Amino acid sequence: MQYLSFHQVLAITRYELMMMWRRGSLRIVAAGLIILPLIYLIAARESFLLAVERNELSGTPVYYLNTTMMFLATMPTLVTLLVAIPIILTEVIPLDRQYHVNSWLRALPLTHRAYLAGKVLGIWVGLIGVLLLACGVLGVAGWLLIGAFDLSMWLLLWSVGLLTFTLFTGALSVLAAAGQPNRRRAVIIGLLLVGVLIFLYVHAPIGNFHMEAIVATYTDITLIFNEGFTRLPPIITLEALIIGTAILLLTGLLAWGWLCWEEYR
Amino acid sequence: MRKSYIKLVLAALAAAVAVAIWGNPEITPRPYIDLVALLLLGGLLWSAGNAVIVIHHQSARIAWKTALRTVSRVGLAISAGFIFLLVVSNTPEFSSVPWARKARIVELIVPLAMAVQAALAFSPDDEPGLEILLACPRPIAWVLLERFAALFLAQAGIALAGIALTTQFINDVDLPLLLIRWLPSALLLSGIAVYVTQRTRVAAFGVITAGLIWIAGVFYGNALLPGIPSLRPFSYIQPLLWLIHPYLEPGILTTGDYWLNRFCVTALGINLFALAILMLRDEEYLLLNLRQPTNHQ
Repeated sequence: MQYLSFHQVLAITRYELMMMWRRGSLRIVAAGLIILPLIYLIAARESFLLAVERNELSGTPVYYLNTTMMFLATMPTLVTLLVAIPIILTEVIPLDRQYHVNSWLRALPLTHRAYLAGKVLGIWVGLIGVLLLACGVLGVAGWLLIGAFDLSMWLLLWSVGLLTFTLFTGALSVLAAAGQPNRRRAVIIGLLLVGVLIFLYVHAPIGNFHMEAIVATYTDITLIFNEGFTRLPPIITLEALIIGTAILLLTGLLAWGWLCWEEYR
Repeated sequence: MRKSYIKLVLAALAAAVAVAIWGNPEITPRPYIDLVALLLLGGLLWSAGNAVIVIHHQSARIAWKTALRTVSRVGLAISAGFIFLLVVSNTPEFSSVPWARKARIVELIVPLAMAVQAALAFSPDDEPGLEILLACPRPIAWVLLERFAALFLAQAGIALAGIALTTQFINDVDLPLLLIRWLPSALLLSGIAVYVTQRTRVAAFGVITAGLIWIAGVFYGNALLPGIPSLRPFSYIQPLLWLIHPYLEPGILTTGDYWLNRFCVTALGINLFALAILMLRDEEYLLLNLRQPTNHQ
């Protein structure tokens, strides 16, 4: 019986990361994660500063308001997370099939588990890099455009709220389209996944932290600052991790089963 | 690269001359609006002229059966299904979601579905047997045109059926407007999807771009309307942006401006489609992703 080879997984991870960069997928995701919130910040800045200046925002400290504004600015990243990532990343495995790379891979002593794990890890490494970049660039841009805000809350939102959901979205996209024969079919699966992910974002705990944090800051910023996010993350994150991992394991199992069946056929 | 710099310098010079003649576009936007509309009209006429010449010289017949076979039934079913569900659902009229107004449902669904299918219709990297297609006497652009025509007809059929269904659920029906209002946004989004797909060679990028523009147009499109405050230097072009608002609703601007917007949106879509067709003439690029160093003979 063959076991997961660490070196094989790393090799596939490196290969996938390189392919993602060459195809331009990472650049498109990075552009979506940075440009859309930046446009929102630039567009909303004028009216926001005007409202602060006129003291229309019920005497809430500007520092709190800036944090709320930065949280709201992450809303457009959802377009990238829920629409762009599933459509772009579903092609990862079908592309190997389309270019007949899988025929070469089958000739190697590489297990399907190592192949799938490498692909998912490659995507994750790429997405983590892109998220770090977006978090940094938007943080600096926000500081320059609207002023000081709470950095710890900003980092918490990105690490707990956006990172978990992005990794989930990326892995699900790769695994869900593992059985598709070509890129075109993969895009159709990606489009169907968009609907599934929107449903999961709204209804499953995996996406709830981001949404609840934004709603909470928007409705009662002072309470959130007094209590921090202590009420929100531990329960939701644990639940999210359990549900998210279960969905990924199930999809991964289906993808692995499909690859085994395809080889047997 | 040098050509791009020259184009950039020429554009900057033209902008400087325009400002010197007409003044700041924030204060006197009308001459600039006319200029943009004229440029789009020029592009449209040029595309139409080229199309007439190509059709005149092209003896190949249209392969309708093959083209229709490439139109995804799933895409059509999803489009029709969404229209049906949204029309028969009981969304309150005062709801803030765009599909709460039943007159807008066809306009929202059909353009997006058509753009997605247009992006998937022909992408150089995913086309099996591209080398053989290029070796045939039939121009490769013909394949894209045929496939687009087939999906356009299929989606237009769904749009008409959707409009017929919609008229049963709304009281004061402006039928001519209802029949025509989905068309400009459909052509614009399809033009963008086809152009981006040919430019990047990947259908997924065309789908995403069209999807993002759809979301921006439907939910945030009114930020393009004149008078919305924006940061400099964007404030200079902001008074002109309503021209390309894909989902402008009648009644927000004057009737003349509404139809000018519809014309500009349509013309931009067709021009982008024509640019995508032009790209298909470069066989080196199509096959090997290499740009030819010299111009076409």
